[in-house]
Amino acid sequence: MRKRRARRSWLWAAVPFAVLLLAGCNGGDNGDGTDTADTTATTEPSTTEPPAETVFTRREIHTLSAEEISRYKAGVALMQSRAATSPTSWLYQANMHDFPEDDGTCPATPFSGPDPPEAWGTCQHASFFFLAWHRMYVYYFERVLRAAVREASGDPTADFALPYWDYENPANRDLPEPFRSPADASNSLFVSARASNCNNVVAGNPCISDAEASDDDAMDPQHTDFCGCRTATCAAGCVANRRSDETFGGNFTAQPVHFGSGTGELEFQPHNAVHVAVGAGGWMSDPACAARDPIFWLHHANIDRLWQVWLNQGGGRANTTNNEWRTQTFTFFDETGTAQTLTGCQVLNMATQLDYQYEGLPVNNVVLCDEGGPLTGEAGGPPPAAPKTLVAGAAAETRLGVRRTSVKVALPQAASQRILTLSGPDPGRVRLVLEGVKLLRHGSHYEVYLNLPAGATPDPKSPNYVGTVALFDHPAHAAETTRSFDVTDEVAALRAAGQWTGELDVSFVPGHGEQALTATAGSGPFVSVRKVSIEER
Amino acid sequence: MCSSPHRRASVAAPFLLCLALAGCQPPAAGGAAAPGGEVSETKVMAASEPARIELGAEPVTVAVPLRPEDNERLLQAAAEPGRLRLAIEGLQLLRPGRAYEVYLNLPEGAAPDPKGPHFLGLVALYAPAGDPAETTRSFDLAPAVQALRERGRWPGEVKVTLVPADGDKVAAAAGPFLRFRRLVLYTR
Repeated sequence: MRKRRARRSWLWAAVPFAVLLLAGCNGGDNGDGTDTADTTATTEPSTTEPPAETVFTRREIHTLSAEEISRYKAGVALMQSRAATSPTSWLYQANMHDFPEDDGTCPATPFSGPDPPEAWGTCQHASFFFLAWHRMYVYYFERVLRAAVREASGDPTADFALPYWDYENPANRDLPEPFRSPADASNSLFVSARASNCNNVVAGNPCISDAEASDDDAMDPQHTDFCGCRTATCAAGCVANRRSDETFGGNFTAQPVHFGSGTGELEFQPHNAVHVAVGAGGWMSDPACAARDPIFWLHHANIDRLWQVWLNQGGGRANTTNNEWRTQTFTFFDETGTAQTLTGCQVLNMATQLDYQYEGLPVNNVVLCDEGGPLTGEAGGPPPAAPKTLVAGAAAETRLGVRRTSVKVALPQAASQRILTLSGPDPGRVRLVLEGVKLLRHGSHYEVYLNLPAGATPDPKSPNYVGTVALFDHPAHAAETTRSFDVTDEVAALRAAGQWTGELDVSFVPGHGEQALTATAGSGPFVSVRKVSIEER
Repeated sequence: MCSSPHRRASVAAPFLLCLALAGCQPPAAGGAAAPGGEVSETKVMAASEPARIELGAEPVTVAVPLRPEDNERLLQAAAEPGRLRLAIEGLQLLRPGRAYEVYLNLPEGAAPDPKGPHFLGLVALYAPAGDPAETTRSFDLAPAVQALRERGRWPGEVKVTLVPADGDKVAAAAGPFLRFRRLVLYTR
């Protein structure tokens, strides 16, 4: 399960330089109340201890030998025998994910004092911390379990890496046999509180169905963004105007969140689906109990593997460069029971930073925090084509006040024809671009309509509606910005409705309604727009 | 397990049909309202009326009202993968243990088939029971719309059916597992 790391000597020699470079990535509390970029709060494992001699290889569970399974079971049993007060015990490790306050799906774990032990209940779900936190969690758990395997076997150098469960392979849809047989307390991998068709092989009814196992959506080209925000503006490194499951890794959060509401596509599917399928009301489907089931760790090793599978596809896929994601510190415990911390910056490359890899899976398209380019492979596919302006209005400031305002742009026949072509069978897109958009004073946002007939009542559900201009800035020092909208579908719908006249008339309608604004907001303008144009993309 | 016939409940009855209501409003100016007054660029085409819709042991069908002109816009948007999506908003976990298969325009009485053209995907939540946080699950509608059109089975309407997956795994008597507030058709 392990092999020599070819570049280890180079990496070790480079450690002092790496420490300096990491200073630009890791921010934290120095202990004196000051927040600075630092190298102390985010310990890079290879800088504080002699480098490991090996990179451990996680293999698919079905490829392990009987002897390897036996040693694995013995290590789990040893952890399960330890008191829950020990960070290297099975229960302590599981409760770091989440824990029941009272007996419920699984028994509560008593603890002394008003607060639970350190790091209990700190799992990160439904935000962009999901993948990084679970990588860290599984990494330290694997170190604890490796030490237990060595202790139980009496071999202090015994090789061990956590297996993973590749349920996407149709041959692996049943729960792996060591976890269900023997179905009694002699088997440290057996848990009774699972779905009946997981603890038993049922012909035609495997533990994991095709739909539950699928990661097709997470891997498809619609999910190349790592993270996003629901709002029109977003923190650096994440994409605005995204529902969380339109991203691969979930939505931005400025602070850790135990259970948020920004679940990414991979977390929804297959992560959530497999939890629910195996648990079915038992341990795996309840976050407070899930990590007590040994299959939890193989499931999460697989999710961790799929993160790298996604990166390896390139095509614009990349980890976020968001600073909160990169520098947020989380606490875990190593094989000696000592608290350790990690940040996103420190878990980007599993092989060089954490000494593990997945069998047959290269680590490509990983950019470390201190590097300007990809570590190996290509970061993303070819750059997108530059937009081409089809028609542009004159640069003249248009001020938007309490009344509906229209801007007409002359549309040459060739441009009009091209727009129609793009909105038809041609796969290109048409965008309406508003340049030099500036906030003059607070008080109104504007609905934007294309070719809204004179006298027609503006309706955001009509094909004329293309979007909203809403600025969130300070008028005293507001900068000009550009707002654009994909209007391909709107042009197609207007044409289908006989409303495409070959003209370009952009209307701005106060979002609160003309009458309401007239009564309460005076007559001054709220927003100005310098230029209106149409681009082809 | 999903292909096993004995596991499949018919959606003939009972089921809940939430019909189109004129009072249904998109959240704000065609976009999703967000804290701080910012507005999402995503554009709401249609939405079901907000309601507390619970998912238990039986299939549930919810209709999304479409105006006649919306159908053309829908078909245009669905011509390109990723442009037209269906969002299930206000999702909450009431108790853990069951996922739901989501189907578009599944004919009444038809056997749900995750390998069939009506299948959109799964909704599976993993959170503490009663977690107040709401989430949204969304699906690309292009594959299903295109598949149904190719088969001449596009009805010009949108009805979404949620069917409990793995029906024999959890006792049905203990109440609903999930609830949600509304369905939203939107374009990106």
